[in-house]
Amino acid sequence: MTDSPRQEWLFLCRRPPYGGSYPKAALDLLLTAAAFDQAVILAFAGDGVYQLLAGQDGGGIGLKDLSRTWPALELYEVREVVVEAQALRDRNLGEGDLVISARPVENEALRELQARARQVFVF
Amino acid sequence: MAMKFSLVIYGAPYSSESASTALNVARAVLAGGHEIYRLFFYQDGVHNATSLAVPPQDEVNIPRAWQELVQAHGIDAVVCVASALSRGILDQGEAERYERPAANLLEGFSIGGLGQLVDAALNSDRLLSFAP
Repeated sequence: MTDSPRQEWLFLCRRPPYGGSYPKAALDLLLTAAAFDQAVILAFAGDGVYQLLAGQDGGGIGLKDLSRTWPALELYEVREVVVEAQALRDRNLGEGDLVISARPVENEALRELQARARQVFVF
Repeated sequence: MAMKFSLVIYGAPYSSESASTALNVARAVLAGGHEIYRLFFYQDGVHNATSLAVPPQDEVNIPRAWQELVQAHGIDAVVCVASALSRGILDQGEAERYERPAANLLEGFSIGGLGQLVDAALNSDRLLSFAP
């Protein structure tokens, strides 16, 4: 019962940057999935939206700024980047605060993405 | 109809219920007549593969329980190399390569990469995730 080659895989990132290893883990796995030719959709929700903030600098605490890698996603054919609209509103953030363009989605659309994806990885 | 399951475990043993839940689900999958295609230990989950754990005698020895399951059923139990290295779970080859004083990868487990997790997702009917 192996599925057809190209599947939609959703990576749902909910944690903020600089707090642990999950953001990098998500990036490593989604790049591997893209290399295996899966249709990767990257979503940021909750505190995960902070990963997209422009102007980050982890130098003061000796941590890498992962947001520099987001602009390179296009090269890896990541199908789409979406961001939870409510999470942005709750945090007083707008699309202009983000380091890449991400499509804001309301919660219902986010739920649909989760339902539609063949695999969902939550980080 | 028998299904193929893979499990990805993100949690360390004892730190949260995720590892022992995964173990119990793995047993239930097999008892239900299904197949486990692969177990993949990622992030803190690599701690399930240590040979050095000494849990209290009156508690389940989670690493050993995984080992028994894996060896009894010939299951492919893969530990993610990047997660393992940074957390100090090393096989003999890595211990030598990085000049560390010991190797501690529990027998029955092998070091592998994320490609094997992706492969497991592609070739299993269900991929079950267990995270803290």
